[in-house]
Amino acid sequence: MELRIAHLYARFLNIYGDRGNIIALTQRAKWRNIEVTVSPIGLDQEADPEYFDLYFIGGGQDKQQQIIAQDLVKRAKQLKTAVDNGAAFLTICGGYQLLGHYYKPHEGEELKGISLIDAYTVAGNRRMIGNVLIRRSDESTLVGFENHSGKTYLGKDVQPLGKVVVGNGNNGEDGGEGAQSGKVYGTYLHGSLLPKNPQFCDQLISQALSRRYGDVQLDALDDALENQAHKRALSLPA
Amino acid sequence: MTSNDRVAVAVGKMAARTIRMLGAGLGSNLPGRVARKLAPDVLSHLAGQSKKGVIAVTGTNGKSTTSGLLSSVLKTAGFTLIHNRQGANLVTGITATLVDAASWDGHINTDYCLFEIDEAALPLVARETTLSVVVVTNLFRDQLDRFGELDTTARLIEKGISICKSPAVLNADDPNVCQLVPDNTRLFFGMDAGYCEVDSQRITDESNLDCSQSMELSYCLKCGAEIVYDCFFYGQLGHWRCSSCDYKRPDPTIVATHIQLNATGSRFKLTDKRQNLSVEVKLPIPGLFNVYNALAAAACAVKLGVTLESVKQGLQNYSTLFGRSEKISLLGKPVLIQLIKNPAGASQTVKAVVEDSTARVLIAINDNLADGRDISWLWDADFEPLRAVKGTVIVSGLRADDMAVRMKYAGIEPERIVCVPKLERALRQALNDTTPDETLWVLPTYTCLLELQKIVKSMGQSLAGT
Repeated sequence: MELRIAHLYARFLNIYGDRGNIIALTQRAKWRNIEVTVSPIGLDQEADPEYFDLYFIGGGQDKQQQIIAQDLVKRAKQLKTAVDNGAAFLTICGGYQLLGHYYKPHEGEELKGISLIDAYTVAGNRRMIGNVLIRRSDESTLVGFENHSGKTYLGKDVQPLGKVVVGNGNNGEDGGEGAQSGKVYGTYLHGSLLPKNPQFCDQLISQALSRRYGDVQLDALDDALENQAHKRALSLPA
Repeated sequence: MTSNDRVAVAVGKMAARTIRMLGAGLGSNLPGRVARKLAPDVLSHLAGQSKKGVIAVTGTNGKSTTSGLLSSVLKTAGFTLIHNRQGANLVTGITATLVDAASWDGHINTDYCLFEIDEAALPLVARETTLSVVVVTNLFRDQLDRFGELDTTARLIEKGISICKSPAVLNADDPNVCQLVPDNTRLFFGMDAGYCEVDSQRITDESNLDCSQSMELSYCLKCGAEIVYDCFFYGQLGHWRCSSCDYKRPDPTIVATHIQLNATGSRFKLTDKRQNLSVEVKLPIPGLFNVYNALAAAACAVKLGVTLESVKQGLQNYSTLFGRSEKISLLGKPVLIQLIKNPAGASQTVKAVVEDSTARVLIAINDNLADGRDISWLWDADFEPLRAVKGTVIVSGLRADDMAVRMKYAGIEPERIVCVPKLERALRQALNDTTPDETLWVLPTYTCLLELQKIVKSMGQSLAGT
């Protein structure tokens, strides 16, 4: 088997340790003898919507966000096709915001998103910084670190990724964190997210592989170290 | 000095004595806080007494080592100075340093005040005292949870330099730094293309993930386009130019060429292009990042009129600072302590570790406020080369578990990763695993370093500055 990952804007959005997600996806697939290719996709670079199983977009600074928004809008149609073809998406922070309908800054024009997630984001006055713990609908937990001032509000076509137990989440108001719509995920969790949440990482790998290989049963790995770090993070203060 | 100032100094000095007598710490901040409460202008009045002025060293990485090297150079050149060498680099710490150095009636007798200053504290200090020169080492991303974003840090530094219209000594190889204070007098330092690990072809190639990942992006201040490199060192340091307009790396005046790195130090040729003079320098601390620190110190010294020969002597005389490539011996084993706090610094330190074929490794990660509460940066740092280190890798600190995961995903076999959260136990175990002809490299975050200081003391040794 082979897992094909498109890492969008790898060079631009690399400021909050999100590359740890790529490292986790790659290693966990390789440890199961699944071949992995990671293709960094830069500005104006073609990404064939038929080819990739998993798309990843990380977080960046405001300035980079504008440059990326312009590029992302140009490839909106192709990315929608990719979703329809069964590709999985993981987007963090800035990447998550741009998957919504728009991002409205304090001043200046709205940044148009690509509406893969029914959500919009408004610039807030307070930076939400700290450890986060969320509980998903299957009672599993995700741990990470948030650092954002944008407040994201979900529409009715999309579920939050989980309920906030510790931290602020999407907007610090409605108790939701992240968004999930089929195989498309958005979240504010850095940390990096996937290394400390190996279950979720494996869920993404299976969902991505299912595009071409149907139901995939992943071999179990020894996750003692990962689980220990996850467990430790459960008790961190906000 | 007002009578208020004199009272403030005396009370501050007494507070420092009491703290030290009680063994409650170094008294590197509280006396400053007390003195400022009693006399808000005390910093201004004390620093203003220095005969030749106040030198500020700021930037994300290398502040302590650069000011340590500069201190060594200035002393070698015959100057007296007051220096916050314990690294208390906020306004209170700087005030405490001055209070400590002043006589009981508030007099200061020194040629220079030399302060490493936190990026955010620079404008506050500049408002209280005239900075005769400001050195900016570099602007990496660091503690984003504290400042929010890198651009915010750049603005704080720019503000700090602008308040006194201070001449600036800047890193020509760092596009984030070069763009600061274009209207001030500026002296640039930089490295020659001779030491270039990566050619421009590789770094502009998106498909080269390893390399493009470790490079930090910058943008042209003039037109906003991406910065590209003809020669790239690390982080965002290199021979840069704007991909769109004619803005490019300025030609530095103080230059390092013929750089050779080894496990314990480096050699390079230091040139002052304006005078067309060169000296050969043997720097007693390892790592390419320390060549930059030496260059920053040399450029500042040259700016202050120190001869190149004195600069050379001063750099070679340098004895390391607390936790910055500091070499000590514990239980008969050589130990080298190097603070890590952000991706660029940690990646460079890892490179220095694997240069040493006798290296053993202990990494200690805390997530207290002073360390940065977000440990995501561990995933932006390149720990992968540590695969080459033999034996176990011991991880410690409040976030030892996270570091253990990072090590596993860096490709180190889980059976070689030993997780010992308590630092003292971790250190003893690491020393036990190290033979006398090996070197134990200890890589702590800031508050782990402070803890290490106490542990080392309890083992009958001391770190610099204690």
